[in-house]
Amino acid sequence: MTLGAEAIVASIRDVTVVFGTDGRAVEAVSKLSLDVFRGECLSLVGASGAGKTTILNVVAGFLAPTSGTVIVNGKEVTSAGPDRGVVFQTNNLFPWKTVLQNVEFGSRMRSVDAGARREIANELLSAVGMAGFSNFYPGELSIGMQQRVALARAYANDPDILLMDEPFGSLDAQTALEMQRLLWSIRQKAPKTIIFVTHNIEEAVTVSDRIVVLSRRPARVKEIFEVELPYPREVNANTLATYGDLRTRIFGLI
Amino acid sequence: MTTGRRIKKRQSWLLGVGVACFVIAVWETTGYLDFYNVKLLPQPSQIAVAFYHMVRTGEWISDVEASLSRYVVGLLIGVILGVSLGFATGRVKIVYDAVAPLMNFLRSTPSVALVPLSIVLLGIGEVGKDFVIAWGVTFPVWIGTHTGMRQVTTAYDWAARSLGAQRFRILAEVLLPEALPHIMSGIRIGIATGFFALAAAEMAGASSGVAYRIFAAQQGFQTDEMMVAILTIGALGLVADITFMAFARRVAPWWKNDAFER
Repeated sequence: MTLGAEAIVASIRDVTVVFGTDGRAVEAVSKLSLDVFRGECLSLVGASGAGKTTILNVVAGFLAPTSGTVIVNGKEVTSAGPDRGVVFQTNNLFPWKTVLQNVEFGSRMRSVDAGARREIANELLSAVGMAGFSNFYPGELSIGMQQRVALARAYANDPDILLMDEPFGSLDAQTALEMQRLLWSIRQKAPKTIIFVTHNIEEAVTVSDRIVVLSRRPARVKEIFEVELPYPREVNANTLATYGDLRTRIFGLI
Repeated sequence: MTTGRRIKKRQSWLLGVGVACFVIAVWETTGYLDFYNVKLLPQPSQIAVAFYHMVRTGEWISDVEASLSRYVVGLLIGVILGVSLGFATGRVKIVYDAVAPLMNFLRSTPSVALVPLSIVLLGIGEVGKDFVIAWGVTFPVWIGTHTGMRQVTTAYDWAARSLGAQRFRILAEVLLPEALPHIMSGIRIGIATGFFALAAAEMAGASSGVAYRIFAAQQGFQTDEMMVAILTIGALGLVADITFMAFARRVAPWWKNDAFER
């Protein structure tokens, strides 16, 4: 079941990324083209070092491609911006701000008035299960709780596209499953276009509408799979066949 | 704090106090046993008596007042200078290239060495002393601030940008808070070096002050008064440090790090 794939939110066109120069040059990404549809969750999977994070950083605007462009909502990406929210693997919550201040940060940058942004923040904190922790500092939270807050913070800014870079990679298996379920439930309330980077194939099958398999370095699109299971997904008797099938096929390609 | 931690904290505090009391007791008794010449090194009981007299005559209070007023002025100047300079050298390369070699040379010059120069140039009034103290404070504060401002944790920078922050907001909301613990460390050290400078400044051309009392008492062979003054300056330094740490903890409550403990 694909969720509303009418329009294209992000378009990666012929992006090549080369690190270093001359003899030490490393081509991380080679002429990669990819379209991301509105409301879908698209996973990028591939072996470690395949360039998944590099691609994400280019879309986010942290990294300039050596050639090629990325268009998000009609505008070319030249630098980082609030239209492309990011959830990092190491959450990157500001340790000197409380949970609430972190979540409100984006709204403050856009000069949203205090009442409105407080409301948005509280709503999201409830949605991620962190209501009541507003005045805690990130350092006082477990890493799972920090990632919930990080998700709320990115969502609070209402970006056109949400970029998630192995967001559950640092969590234990149980917490990661909870977070996958949480991501789905948030998408129910507020649909969002998402690019989700992961090296965990089960995770990709659980959260995504489409899975893009990248080749080994330099990264190119090897194949794209559609996941036709109904949400919310988990490995059980009914879904086992699909999970197994996808996993085998994807693993074979990596 | 859990009960276990609280008990442990009390126990460590008691242990520390216990050892101090033990040292005082040994000092006192070995004096009676003639292990040392009590005219040269007074016993704690003699020191206590001298302290009582000095307080009664108001001498002690006026000494403390004199020293503290100089110290505070020098500290404020030093902190303002050090922080401003640190902001500039930490963020603007040209400023660093221009200023750093000279600063690094100057900071190796201890405040003590500058006292005679300060008297020649600024006389024996308060200005010269404030200058010497400010000298002692500025350099550690500069280094701490500079180090703090040099840090650019890409992670937070990127997070801020992806949330829509522009340059100035990033400076104020990301860079500065990140630098704060380093600035605080620098100031903490500056507070201590400020006291060294205070002692040096009161060494020559002073007529009041706790450090001055040390030298004056020594010349008058009043070793007990001298000891009172020495202990006083030590106590002032300790109180200043504790006060500052309490302040620092309020300003940066997220910094749960050993640098801010003990």
